Amino acid sequence: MGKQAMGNIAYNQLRRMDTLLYLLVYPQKPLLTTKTIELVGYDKLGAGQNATVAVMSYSGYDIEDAIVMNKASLDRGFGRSIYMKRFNDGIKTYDEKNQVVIKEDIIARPDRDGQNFGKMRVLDNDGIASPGEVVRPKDILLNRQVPNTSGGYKPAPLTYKGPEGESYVVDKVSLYSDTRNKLQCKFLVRHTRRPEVGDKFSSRHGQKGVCGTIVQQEDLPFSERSICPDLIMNPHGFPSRMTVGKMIELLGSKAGVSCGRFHYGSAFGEPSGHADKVEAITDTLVKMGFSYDGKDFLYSGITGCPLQAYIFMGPIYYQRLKHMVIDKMHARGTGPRIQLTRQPTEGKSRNGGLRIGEMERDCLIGYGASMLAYERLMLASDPFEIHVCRECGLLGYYDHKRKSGICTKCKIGDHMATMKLPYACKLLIQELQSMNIVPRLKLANA
Amino acid sequence: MSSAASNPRPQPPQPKQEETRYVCGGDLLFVSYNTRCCGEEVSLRPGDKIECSACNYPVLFKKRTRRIVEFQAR
Repeated sequence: MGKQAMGNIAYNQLRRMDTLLYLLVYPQKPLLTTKTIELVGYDKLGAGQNATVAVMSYSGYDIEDAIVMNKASLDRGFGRSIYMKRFNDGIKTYDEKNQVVIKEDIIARPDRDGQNFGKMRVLDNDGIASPGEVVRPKDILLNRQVPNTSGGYKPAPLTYKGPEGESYVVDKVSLYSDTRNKLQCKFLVRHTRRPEVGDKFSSRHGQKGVCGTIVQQEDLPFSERSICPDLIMNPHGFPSRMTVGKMIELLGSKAGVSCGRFHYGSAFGEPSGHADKVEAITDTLVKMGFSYDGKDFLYSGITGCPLQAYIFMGPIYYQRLKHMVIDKMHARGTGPRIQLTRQPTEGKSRNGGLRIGEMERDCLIGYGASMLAYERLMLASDPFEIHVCRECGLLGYYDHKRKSGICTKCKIGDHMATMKLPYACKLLIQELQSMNIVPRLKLANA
Repeated sequence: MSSAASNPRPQPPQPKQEETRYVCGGDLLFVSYNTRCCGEEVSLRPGDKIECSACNYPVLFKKRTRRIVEFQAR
């Protein structure tokens, strides 16, 4: 439906080889549509599921648009999705000048006795992983080897990278020739995902929210007809956003399921139009034995006592959005650094650190947590020991023969002092020097 | 360079190898329903052209693994 919603993307979705593909396992048609949606064919490819939503507060894990989900619904397949990712690799050729023979990669047969066999578990005799195999991070998908200068080969395999502890499956492997007639491979790796805490959901009215907690069905409220919500949404989402359409959708869908007819939810109830007006929907609801306002009498699942208020409950078409925690979750202790500044790298893909930015730094300063600021901004980042001349204030170096610091300008080591400083600061000083600006360090308490 | 020059298509030392079978991807091509579907099984040796021997379709798919795979139902 929307850009980020999971669902069916095309009728041939399982035959395609997309770089990234998000599919819903059990997509549904919305109970409440509009004539336009039907005419355009928007509902031909499902992009969500009709979830029974109870608009109420529950447990405190539903504040700030978070959603409480029913564990039994998830077990039955609500929001279950398929994630597919493609890996490409193949034989590359290397032409060098003055050489008759063009060197090229080989796809080697896996070394069954070698120490790396664990990683080559999924490979066939042709050195290519076969479909149906379960892959773990660092497993080799394509056993490629690169020619080196001495006529031998050096391993350069295509490895699978993904989250630890999850079972991804090789779904499809296709082979084709590139323009140079060399073998190229595409690997489609599949993962089935059920919703977890932190996954993002949305109704069609822009009411997005993450899953705050997953609750056993036994603990969820239920109506006198034993209807139990699939998810619980906090009513605070309504007043400021004024999504009246969502409430009408709930009413219309509720009338739709109970009388067995898809309803139209257009805003215009003019006589020539097709829209089911709220009045008509209300009549249907009453006819089917519900309250006219869509509110139900619910019992608490925890105490078994009736709830104090009637709860606005009914089906709403919910979409699962493609932002999932498993793709975003990241933490780092120590790890790679950038060569130039010696500071930690940035971003999840580079196993990067989490930045204490300017505003966070302001907070530390404002609070007076100087040791914490010192630790985060220097010790945990790029500490560096320099030798400074107290006379001229320029940077010197440590002479290992004389076992003392030496100032490059004064040529003597009498007034040298050592101090710690971020490497980036030392870099700045030297870069300024290269531009004919001389920063001098004045040491007060050396 | 010297060893590579004597052998135009460099191959690693290969013990007797059972051939891996591939399936023609021609059934994925919906040009028209008449030219659809081949499904021919092809066996390739290293260095062969990637092509279906029956219909010359240039994409091949690997057959599913014959090992027993256990899936975890969650």
